[in-house]
Amino acid sequence: MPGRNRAAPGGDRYMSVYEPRRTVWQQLDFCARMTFPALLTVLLLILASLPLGPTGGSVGSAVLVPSVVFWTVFRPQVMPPPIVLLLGVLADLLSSTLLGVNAMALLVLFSVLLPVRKMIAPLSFPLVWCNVLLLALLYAVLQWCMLSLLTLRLLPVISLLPQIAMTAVLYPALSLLLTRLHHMIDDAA
Amino acid sequence: MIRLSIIKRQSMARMVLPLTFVVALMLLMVGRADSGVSDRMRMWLADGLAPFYRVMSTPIEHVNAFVTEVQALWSLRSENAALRADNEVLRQWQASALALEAENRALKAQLGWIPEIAGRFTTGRVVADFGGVYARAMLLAVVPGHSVTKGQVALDGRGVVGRVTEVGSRSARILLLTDINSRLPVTLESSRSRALLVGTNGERPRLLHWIQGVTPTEGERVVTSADAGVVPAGLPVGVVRYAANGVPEVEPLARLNRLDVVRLFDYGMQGILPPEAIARPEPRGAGRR
Repeated sequence: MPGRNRAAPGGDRYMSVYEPRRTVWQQLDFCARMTFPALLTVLLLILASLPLGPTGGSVGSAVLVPSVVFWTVFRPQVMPPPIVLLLGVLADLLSSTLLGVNAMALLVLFSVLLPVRKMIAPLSFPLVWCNVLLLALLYAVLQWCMLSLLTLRLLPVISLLPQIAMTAVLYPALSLLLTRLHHMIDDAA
Repeated sequence: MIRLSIIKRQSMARMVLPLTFVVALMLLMVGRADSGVSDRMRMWLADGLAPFYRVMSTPIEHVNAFVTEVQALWSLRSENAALRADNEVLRQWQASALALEAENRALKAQLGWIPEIAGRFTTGRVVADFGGVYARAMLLAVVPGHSVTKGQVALDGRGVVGRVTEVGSRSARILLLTDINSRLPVTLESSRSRALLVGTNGERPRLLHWIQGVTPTEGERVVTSADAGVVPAGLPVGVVRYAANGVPEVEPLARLNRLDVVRLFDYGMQGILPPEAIARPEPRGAGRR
């Protein structure tokens, strides 16, 4: 949907007044820039499902949560709710979790984050890191609550720790990569 | 493109998030009510990704080999000393094993023992870790036209790894012993007491429901039991270890953290049937449910 995210008042209804119609290549370029972050997250999720020894299983959400948080905070137009849902479903399927658990947890995380994203965006890196960790904690607790409710048993809380620790460890590198890409998309625009 | 007024556009945009929540809720309900749907979706995805995993398995193998090499170089001296000591002990064991084997053969010949059927097996490479926070599962690459079926038991070079829970055309999913949903009937080797090995998601599954009057002893070997008709008896599983809180756990012999190649044995056991295979009683009269 070209023009939807432009600041021009009235969206693309009046866009032709302000700027010339986009060519096919410009539209393709725009689509590529819009879908790139989501596709990258999908790729990271699939890579995280490779057998990486004892870390396996905790890497998935350690790349999913920071990616979704990063794009929601810094470029919300590329992370609309349906994409968040699809990413959650993919995580469910790749992690053998009950269908919908990661999807729902991710959506709750997303709706908590959306109203405060403008407060997080200008913060310094260590503070953003702390916020990501808080959100990873929230995500883990949501997973635990839903799975405990749905399977009707008290699951061990300790199993959540590797996932949060892995998020903390991976975030600086991931943030570096995503920031680079974020600026690349800007430059291409 | 459909042209809509700004107000309509804004109200539609506001509806997206609640609608997505409704879809997620529906998915949760579907996933809870019928696990078959998510299993089929999962195998469909796994089959689709199988070629990618197959391609990626080579670089992963190289990385793992490099890491192992570095670790081995690091501990070369101490490992060598430990291996020498082990070798001495194993030589003694070999002598007694050979003697026992000969004795066993002689006794079986006298008894007219009916030999057990040796299982046929398929070997597959572990290509993906399908585990999550509360799940321990691995994905195996198999070739189309394979003979892998649900319920087959998976072993690595040392012991039982888990069981096949879903089978696709190019991949098979194995639920590991350590998964919280895993239940395996076992026998404590020295006391011959039956017990249940229950996964906890931790490194060591827990022993439950052993026979009254018997206590699992530290270091006792645990093997599979044919009680439920799920797995053949006598496959090596692990060794009893007591946790700090006094709960008997089993340290698996299989190296679950570094699974590479796994054998899937077909012993023709039909103990656990898929829900759709269970015959329901015929309704007696028309219209009665």
